[in-house]
Amino acid sequence: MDPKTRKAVSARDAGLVRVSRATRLIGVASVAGAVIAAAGFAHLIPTHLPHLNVDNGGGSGSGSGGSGSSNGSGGLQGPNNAPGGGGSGPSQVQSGGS
Amino acid sequence: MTLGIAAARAEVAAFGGTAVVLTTEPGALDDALAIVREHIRAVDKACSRFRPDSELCRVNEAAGRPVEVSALFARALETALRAAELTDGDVDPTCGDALIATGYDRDFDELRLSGVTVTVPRPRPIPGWRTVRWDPARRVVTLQRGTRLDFGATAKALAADLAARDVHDKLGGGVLVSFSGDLSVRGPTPDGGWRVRVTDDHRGADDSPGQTVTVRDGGLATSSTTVRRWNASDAALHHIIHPRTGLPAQAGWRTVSVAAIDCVTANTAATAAIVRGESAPGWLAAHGLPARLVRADGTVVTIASWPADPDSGGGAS
Repeated sequence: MDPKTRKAVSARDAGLVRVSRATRLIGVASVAGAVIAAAGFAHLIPTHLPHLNVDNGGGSGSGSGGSGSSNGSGGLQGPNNAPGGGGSGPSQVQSGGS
Repeated sequence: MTLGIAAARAEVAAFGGTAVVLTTEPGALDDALAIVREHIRAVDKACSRFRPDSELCRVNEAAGRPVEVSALFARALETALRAAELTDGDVDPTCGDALIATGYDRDFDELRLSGVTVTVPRPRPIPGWRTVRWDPARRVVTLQRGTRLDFGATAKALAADLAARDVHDKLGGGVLVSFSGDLSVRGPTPDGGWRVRVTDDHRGADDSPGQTVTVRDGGLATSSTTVRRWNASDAALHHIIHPRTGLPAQAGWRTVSVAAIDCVTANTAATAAIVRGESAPGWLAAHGLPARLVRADGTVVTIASWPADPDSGGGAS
């Protein structure tokens, strides 16, 4: 390899090293920036969806929506025990239109 | 858990209908009734569309401006919005204006007794629950100008759930709280469960056409187009509004009863089923909700694990 070519190869290698260092630096800085931003603005990240969350509390009005005794899945959930047949005896209460 | 004891029963007027309180401990009935009355008073004050001093009226009158609301109203609002979301908007709390437009602008007893015949104007579009701006952290709600909320599909059921839980937590024992037939159960029950007659009208006699079932937990609610009806110049109207049309739903089902994890879920599903019409059975089955649907001609269809109706010629799915 003649001196001119060797010099060109060296220059190319040095350039690649500089680009690689700069890339790593940018990557690290990006990650650090993201962590700092997340820590700084964590209080703004929604932690509950008021229309979906359900609780069993007494109604704080702080986003804990739902029916008061409902399931925690946010969906329409059936009873733990399906209604049973009532036979022919008298009823204790009526469920009908109002 | 079931108990082999007789239950005690009390009945009072509430929410334009009848409230029934059942307890497994007869000695607890008076205290239970007092607790239930307090919930009736609080929910009525917060959520009534017919009381000028209610929080709901204050919020509706302030449409277009932010309003800070009480914890109970916040809960009722969130419950109504959740119902809308879970039913893809079939049960929508922003139908207040449409109800008024169809003539349901006063307590139903007044409407029924006055015998008025209303003229329904051109249907108005429902603003839609997504237009309600709700800040749960500050408990501030902002309605779009011209929007009126109505919690008719959820507030009474919420009251039943809250009252039943409160009675059970404070007094122990088993309790059933029913507001006009939307009922919530907590704690142990008598042998076999509470015996409930599902029928078109919650004021009906014990031998009214329907079915008696037993309920051991959760909630059971019935929506019907047969009771809250009034006359327009060219049609009979009812109180279940179809959000897409702004008019009473063209009900393929006259009465739908649903059992669920609680009364709010049951009432939400029952109302949505009336709105959905023919697709309701598949929708209820997909959610695993035991249900009984009655067509206008009286044919009964039962869904999921709802017990077969011995008097029905209808099918089960």
